Amino acid sequence: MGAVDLGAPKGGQKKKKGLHRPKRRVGVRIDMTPMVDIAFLLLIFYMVSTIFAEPQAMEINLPPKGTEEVVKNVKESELMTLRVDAKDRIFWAMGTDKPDTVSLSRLPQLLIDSLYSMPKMITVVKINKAAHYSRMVDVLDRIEVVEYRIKARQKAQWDRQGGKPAGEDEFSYVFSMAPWTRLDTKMVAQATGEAEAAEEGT
Amino acid sequence: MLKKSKRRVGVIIDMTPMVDIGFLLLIFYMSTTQFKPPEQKAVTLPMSSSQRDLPKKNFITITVTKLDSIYVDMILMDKRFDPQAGDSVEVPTREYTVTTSDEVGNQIQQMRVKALKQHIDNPFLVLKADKDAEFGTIEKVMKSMQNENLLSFQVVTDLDPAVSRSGT
Repeated sequence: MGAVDLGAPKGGQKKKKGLHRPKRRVGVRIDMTPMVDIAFLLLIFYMVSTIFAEPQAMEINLPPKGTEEVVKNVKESELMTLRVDAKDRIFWAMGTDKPDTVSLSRLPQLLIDSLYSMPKMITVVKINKAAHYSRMVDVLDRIEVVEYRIKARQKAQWDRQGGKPAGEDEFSYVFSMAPWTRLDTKMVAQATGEAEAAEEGT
Repeated sequence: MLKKSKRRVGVIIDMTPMVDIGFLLLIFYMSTTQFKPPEQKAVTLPMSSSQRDLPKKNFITITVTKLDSIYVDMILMDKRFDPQAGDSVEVPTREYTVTTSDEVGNQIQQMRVKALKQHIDNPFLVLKADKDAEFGTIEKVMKSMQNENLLSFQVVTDLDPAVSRSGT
């Protein structure tokens, strides 16, 4: 352990008035072993418990060239259109309804509710060319969240029923992306009441 | 008879050899660590709740920066003449090309040809775009890839802790 080294004891000394005796300096030896122990323990702890913040991946599968036309043969009443305008705002519209804004945090619940009330619903995502790419990732991410949650619910239901019923498939979210058109700019402008911005990423 | 109580002796351990070993290990790892070839441009990634792992090797990266400049790159073995060894050495380097949004599909195919020469078959495609890149550029990139029948790719994102996949 540490040791304090006192000099050889001298005889008792009286403090004379007006005279300050110099303080006796003592040698101090500190044993560093515990400090090194702690340092290594900390090092080993962090070496073992560190998780690096790796970037993650999101898979995207594009439809083969030439299949974009198939989307047109969908009943309007079953079509949910998600639009992202040039200002990165998200609008949703069922069929030919007037578009309404929705926040990213409410989007999953909105999609889940719409899907449960209309299981045949098809989603089309249209993003303005002037919008930011992060919005596309956000919307696609929320769609994946919805798919994940519905699959989990479906699995729980099947487990309760004691297995997967024949003829029922695992849920998969069907959606496609379509190019933004002048019509979309018009609909969004009508919905928000703002004047149409000319040439804004049409 | 009463045993004499053990006399406790002070133990002094000299730490010098341990510090020596510590520094030797440090120097060894400092000199033998190899870094991956550095990336072209740093890009601010968008956030998503996706938790898939990126492929570790054999993938082509398409980088789209904030100012909409596009790079297609891949880590391939390159033969370099090493003066010390006196012979050509194979060194992993990042082959890259600068390209436009319409030419991306073409450039990817060229990179795939180079990869095939090194026996890398069907490398993954990874899209690394800045979160503030214009969607129009990304749309053109995806269209260019679609034209070349390159349909499956991964998008790199940072993990967003605020969005949870489980819930209701």
